[in-house]
Amino acid sequence: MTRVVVVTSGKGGVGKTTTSASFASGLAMRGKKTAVVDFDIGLRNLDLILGCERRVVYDFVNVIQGDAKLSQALVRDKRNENLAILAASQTKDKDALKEEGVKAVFDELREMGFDYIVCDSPAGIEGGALMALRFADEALVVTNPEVSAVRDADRMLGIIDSKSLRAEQGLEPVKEHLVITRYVPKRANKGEMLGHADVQELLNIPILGVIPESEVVLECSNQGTPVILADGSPAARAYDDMVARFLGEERPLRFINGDASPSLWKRLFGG
Amino acid sequence: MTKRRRRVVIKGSSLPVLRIVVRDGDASALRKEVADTIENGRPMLAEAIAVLDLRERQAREVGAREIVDAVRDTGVRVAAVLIGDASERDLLTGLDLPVIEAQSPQQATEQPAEPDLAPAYLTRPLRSGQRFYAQGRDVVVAAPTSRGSELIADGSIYAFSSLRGRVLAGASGNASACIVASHLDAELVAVAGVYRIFEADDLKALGSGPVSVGLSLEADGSERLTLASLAPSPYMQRR
Ligand SMILES: Nc1ncnc2c1ncn2[C@@H]1O[C@H](COP(=O)(O)OP(=O)(O)OP(=O)(O)O)[C@@H](O)[C@H]1O
Ligand SMILES: [Mg+2]
Repeated sequence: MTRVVVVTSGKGGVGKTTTSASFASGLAMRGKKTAVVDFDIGLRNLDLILGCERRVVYDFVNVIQGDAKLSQALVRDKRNENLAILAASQTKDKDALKEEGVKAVFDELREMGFDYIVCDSPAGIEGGALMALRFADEALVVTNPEVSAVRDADRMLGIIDSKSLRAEQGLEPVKEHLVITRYVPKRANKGEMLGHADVQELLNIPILGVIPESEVVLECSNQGTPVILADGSPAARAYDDMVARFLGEERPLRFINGDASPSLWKRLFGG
Repeated sequence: MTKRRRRVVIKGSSLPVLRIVVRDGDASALRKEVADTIENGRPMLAEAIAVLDLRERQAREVGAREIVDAVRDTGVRVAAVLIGDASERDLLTGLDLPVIEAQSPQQATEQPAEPDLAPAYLTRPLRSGQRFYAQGRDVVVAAPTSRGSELIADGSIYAFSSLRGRVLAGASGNASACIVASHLDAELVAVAGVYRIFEADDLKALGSGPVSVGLSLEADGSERLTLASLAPSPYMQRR
């Protein structure tokens, strides 16, 4: 059974594409046959983040419009044969994403035996974002520890609850997971950012991962490597934990305490 | 032959309609109070339609016409004027507004009993931009509501969760409706149309525990929204 997972947020620039690339790669590394689909028509960059932009010949819209076969448009990842990428089109024809077209492509991916279809949603709550969540079985709702991003994530959760096919057909609701990215524990502890517990309390869905702010993310996107492959870096390990939890493993949250060692003051005086 | 879809249909509505009640007072003071009250209520009035309720005036120091003008000067969209006494109708002729003669709520006999409907049950979080309306009944809430959401009941609201958006009980006028919540951090709370807007820190004093909200009758006959913490006092907690 193929599971469709949308990576969405409402607010732009919070880390959806970064998360989609690492999540899809992580699933593939664990042996799951995974297709990651870029729904950000006109602003494609998932292929850049995954380092396969040169090999994109046909895109999602070409397949929907019948100009290419799905097998021609799917780009196989050069690091992991379980991972395939369907790039967005660079042309700005956003209306090309029609529901029947998307459904036909997904049905074909199901027939090809993919375990997961990961949908990288564009920002916003219209058009492409609605289409990306339409067929979802699960959702990774990405947010930053900041009030406006959390408000938009909340809005998006409401939209998933009303506009997804599952909601419309009265099936079991889309399973929602919270991913907090660009987390800086020190600033959260000082109250300069929302803490992960505050974000969870406001949105009331389980936390799948807390990804720390890291310079590695920028380096990786310049090199076209998903962050999860940046061995040993906290962001990579946090993404690895996230994938493991998604597949049912229990792992405690890491990288949420900043400086874990008690302060000198506390050690001296028993604070 | 297929049946033609009807092009005109009459339906009930649950559009928010606010009642602006104006009581007695001398002309200049009243004009200022109208302006101030409406300014305070601005966030709520912005999207709503308002009905001007002139039925609670006894002395009628200020004419109905003047009050209508004062309210309209503030820019509020008035949809109709409610009067209690037919003699005032003459004062309002020539206004392009419907004038509705209706008994004042104080004179009204026993309110018709609320229909005996089982309470609505809200189990999914109510998200920003969403609205839930428990029409003609209470609602039991088992999931949190978010900022930017709207929870409305004609009866009372009992929440075993945090309420954060707008929370309106007794929406069609039931003044004995109440709101009970295990945590209240709402932007706006109303019972039977008497409402208060809260800024970020306004509710801090009530603590993070359970809270109840209801209407109480003041000595002068006006209704006031009362908020109370239901949490045990610190003294009790220590024991
Ligand atoms: N954990 C992180 N640490 C530091 N920078 C990050 C992190 N995650 C994402 N970024 C940076 O934030 C920016 C936006 O990331 P990304 O493109 O993944 O967001 P998006 O939600 O897909 O944006 P859009 O809404 O435009 O599609 C990028 O510059 C990325 O490098
Ligand atoms: Mg993106």
